[in-house]
Amino acid sequence: MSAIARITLRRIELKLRMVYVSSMYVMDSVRRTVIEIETEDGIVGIGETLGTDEVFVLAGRLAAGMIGQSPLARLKLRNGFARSVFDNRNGRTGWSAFAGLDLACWDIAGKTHGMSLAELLGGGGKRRIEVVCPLPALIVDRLVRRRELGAMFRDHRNIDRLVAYALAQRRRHGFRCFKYKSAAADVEWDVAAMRALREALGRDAQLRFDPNAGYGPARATALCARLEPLDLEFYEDPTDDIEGLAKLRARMTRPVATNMCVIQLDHLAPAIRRGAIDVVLADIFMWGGVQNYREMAAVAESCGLKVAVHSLFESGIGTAANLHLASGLPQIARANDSGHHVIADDILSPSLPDVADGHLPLPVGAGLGIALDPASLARLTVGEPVIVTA
Amino acid sequence: MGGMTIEGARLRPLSEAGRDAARVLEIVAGGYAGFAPVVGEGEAVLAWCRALLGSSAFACNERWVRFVAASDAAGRSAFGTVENALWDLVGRKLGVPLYELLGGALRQRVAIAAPVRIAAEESVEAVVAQAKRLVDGHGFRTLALFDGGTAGQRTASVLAALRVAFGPAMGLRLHLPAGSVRPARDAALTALGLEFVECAGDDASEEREAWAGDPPLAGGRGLAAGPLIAEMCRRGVVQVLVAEPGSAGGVPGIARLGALARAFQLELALACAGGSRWELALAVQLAATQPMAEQAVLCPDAAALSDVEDGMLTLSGAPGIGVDLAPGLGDAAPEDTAS
Repeated sequence: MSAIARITLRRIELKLRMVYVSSMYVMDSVRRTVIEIETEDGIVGIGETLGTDEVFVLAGRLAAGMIGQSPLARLKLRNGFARSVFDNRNGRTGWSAFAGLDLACWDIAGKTHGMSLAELLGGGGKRRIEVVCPLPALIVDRLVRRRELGAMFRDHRNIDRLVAYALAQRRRHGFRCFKYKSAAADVEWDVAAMRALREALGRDAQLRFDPNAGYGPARATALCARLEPLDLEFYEDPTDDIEGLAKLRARMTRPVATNMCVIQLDHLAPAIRRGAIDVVLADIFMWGGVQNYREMAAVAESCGLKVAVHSLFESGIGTAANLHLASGLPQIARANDSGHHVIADDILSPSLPDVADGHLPLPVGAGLGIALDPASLARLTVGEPVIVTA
Repeated sequence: MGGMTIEGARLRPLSEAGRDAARVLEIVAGGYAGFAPVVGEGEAVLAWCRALLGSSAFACNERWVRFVAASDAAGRSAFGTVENALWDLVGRKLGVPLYELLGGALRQRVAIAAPVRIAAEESVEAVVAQAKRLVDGHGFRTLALFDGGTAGQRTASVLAALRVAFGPAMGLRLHLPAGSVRPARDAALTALGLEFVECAGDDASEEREAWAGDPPLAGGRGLAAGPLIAEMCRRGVVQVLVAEPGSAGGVPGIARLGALARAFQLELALACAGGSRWELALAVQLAATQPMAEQAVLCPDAAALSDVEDGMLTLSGAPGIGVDLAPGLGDAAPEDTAS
């Protein structure tokens, strides 16, 4: 296999079709890092990861260390990056930076062997993947300051707009699974919103509740106890930390999931020993790439945990990667988080299809099975690309 | 990737002794053949092959799900045998060694442990001489002592003599057969600085918890990743996972044990059940790809270790597992064929 000759990193900004209100964000666009790794013999692997300043800078620094190495030596690249918890990780930033580069290397491996990412993972039989419809805590028409939200949460008539949005999304895309993003600002609003969603969407709909660990353990436990009759699919990060989740889970009958408190392999053992969670809602861009993700899924499977795919708002690259994970890994049996239908623009040619009947099709072709659209990429790029060569 | 449908399989004898001797599974898909030593019962291997006829050679996760649903000791070995042959086949088809399919090697040379046996009639001096011949001939840096069931004072004497003869840098392990009595954990045993003690067959034993400490306990041989192994990890009653590619669910089974080892920060010791070149080559390649597999690979048959130099084997770049059938082997009997 020829060595890595050139790595190009770009930051893109993707507009959303809604204002996304949660306990962490009020936003109408998202930034992502897009990575192209080119080998000496001209194979180009595509990757993506978070687009924060820190991740973008660190990914560029890591890329410099990959020039001249084989993209198929993925284990060695991972070992070189983070041999121990002390190296490079910078919380989740380091693993996020590595994830984009790792994904591009897997794309190269697939293109080299003529296999899709899902096939490389030992699967690929599942051709349609169910996806989740994200619901903001509140429907607003423009970006607002967080302090303005308080008054809106106190007026429960605003819940009608949230329910109407969910129903419209179901009519348009056929969703059967919904994730409500709590702003963790008002318990009464959250309970009322979840009750209204359950009533409007019916008992067949899967409902997830996600306040991004914004409530303390006591309030979260009291709140989730009130949500128990709603028979939710799971409580996602209802409170913070492995210890907090463990205490809450001991009091609930419905499953507890996390994408914030168990995001590295070394978090699994304490979470399992403490009985903190039922579902690892794992984000490939926090877990540090495909190999880490696959190992997490193997541990979860052995230890009786379920696995589901987390997503924020990715470009088509990240969405494709998540579809391959769901098709390739047998441990993933729940619907994928996905913001695909909320992204107003994309950088692929052809674009991924729209969500239909609540599902997205697995891209066909070697590697991720996608190709970049240079014009869209150029149009959406923010700042100057970083090009790393020998 | 299409066109890699499993078309047939047969068990071929590795010697003229035919069905009673060691056999190799040959499995065919898309015009390619893959090979793996048969671990366990040949009938179970063939039955599993028959169940897979017409399915994709690549779909290892689908196979794993089916395997987990119907897993027992015979099933584990049959599954592992077939998986190993299929991964060999895929490597041959793509023209790459197994380790490259798994993400590339972390080390190009893999340490091998020398098997040293205590026979009932053998003196301590004779056991030390046996070990010395192996170390002088191949530079082994780890000695794996197999106790034939005499665990106790005599075993402790042998270990002490080996430590004196080879010094503190030599890795020493003790492998006890199922049902044997563990040596007393005392200061003398701890002072020997063993890498680990493996007590076969007591993975579910409650005594494990009480015995945990120094020297570390190894376990899990013959098990595939699943609830029992997970419970051992969770309770901390094992410090080293012993992984046999044949009986632990083959290549995907070792990947799962490797993930558990990483998550629970356990060492992983690859081991061969028998002494065939396939088993050794496979274990070496798998050890090369596992971050936690820094322990020397164990092969119980010293006769299979002729290529070891300086206590290590170097990875071959040959496709798949990297071992070809010797010319002139007998064909499979009709009853040993699935097509």
